[in-house]
Amino acid sequence: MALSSRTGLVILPLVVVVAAFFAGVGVSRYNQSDQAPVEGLLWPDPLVLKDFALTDHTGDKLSPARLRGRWSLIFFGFTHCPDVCPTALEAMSAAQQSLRQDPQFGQTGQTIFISVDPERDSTETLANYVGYFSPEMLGATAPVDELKALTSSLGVLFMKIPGEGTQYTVDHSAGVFFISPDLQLLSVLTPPITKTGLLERFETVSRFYSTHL
Amino acid sequence: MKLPPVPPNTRRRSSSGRTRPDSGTLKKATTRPSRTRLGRHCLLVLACLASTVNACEDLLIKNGWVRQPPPGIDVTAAYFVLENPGTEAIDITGVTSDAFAQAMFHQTSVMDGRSRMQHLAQIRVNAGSQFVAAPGAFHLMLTGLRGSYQQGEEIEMRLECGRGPALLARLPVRPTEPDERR
Repeated sequence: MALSSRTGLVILPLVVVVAAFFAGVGVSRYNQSDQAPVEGLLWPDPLVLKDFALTDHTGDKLSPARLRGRWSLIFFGFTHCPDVCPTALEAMSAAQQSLRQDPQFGQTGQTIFISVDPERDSTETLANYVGYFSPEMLGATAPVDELKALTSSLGVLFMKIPGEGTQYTVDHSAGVFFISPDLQLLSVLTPPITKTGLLERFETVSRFYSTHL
Repeated sequence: MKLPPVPPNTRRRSSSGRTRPDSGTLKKATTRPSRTRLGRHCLLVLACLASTVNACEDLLIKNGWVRQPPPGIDVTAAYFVLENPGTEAIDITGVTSDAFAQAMFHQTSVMDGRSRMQHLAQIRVNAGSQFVAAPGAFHLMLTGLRGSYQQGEEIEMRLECGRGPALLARLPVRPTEPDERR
């Protein structure tokens, strides 16, 4: 694991690629073709996933190939997160059940929890964790350098914050990332994350995708 | 203990200026004109301190629950509404539970899309006000889970206020509702 330095306050060097994320989250964008505002849509010029290699909670490789051709809703967090992460994952699990009836999300769509705390979140820990929220949810992580390949392409931030003794917490991007079947980041739903909010955002984004892309 | 920032949703209302009716010290202060100026000042300070420290048992705790921790995870959070029907502010200076090694108040905040937690050494519940702990906002972070708890079981918490009896509360364990939010 690459989370090795106890002396540095910033253990996980952060990627500051945030153009579309910080500029566009929650802001209405205008579709170039009809000038109609589309709430929360990161368009035009969406970020596109670059190559990455994570390990999922079963030990298999998770790469862009497993996201291509299907919708993916991704949340970045860590299992020792007491508040934001379980709140978001409960909502994602409930939303996923409803989205199975959506023709675009269907049976191939997936929800993914990516741990930015590989020091504590082993494959076994991830398996128990995501399995608690949903048997269909994917969990994945990788050494920090590998994680950065993914987070940098999405503008995701994470930082280890030391606590008492050996304890620490992790500041992290807290949104749900909507990745299209073409690996485009089309939207980020920021907290509060609710089932209703996720369903509404997916309807908006998937409708735009099906009619414009 | 250092004085922490007062949570913004519980900012103190204008002072009523009342003194505690059982404060013998204060009665003496108003009936003895021969006291020195320094002595009067000291008593005024004590009176101010007394007006902000009250017994926990005067608080009401409502809608409390502990998030069911996922298997293998020893960290979770508790949520509740603390109501102070009295006329004086009450500070919660600590929380203990046999079920956890440590309990700390935290505030979750999201800035520029990034979530972070701030530790609050204590919280204040102003007179006639509420302190609301809810997912995604203020919460009681619980670490070092001892044993395992399933939905429907209860966990006892002791809220301390610095003096007087602690407020005892038994909070049920349950998962988050999918649309639960602050």
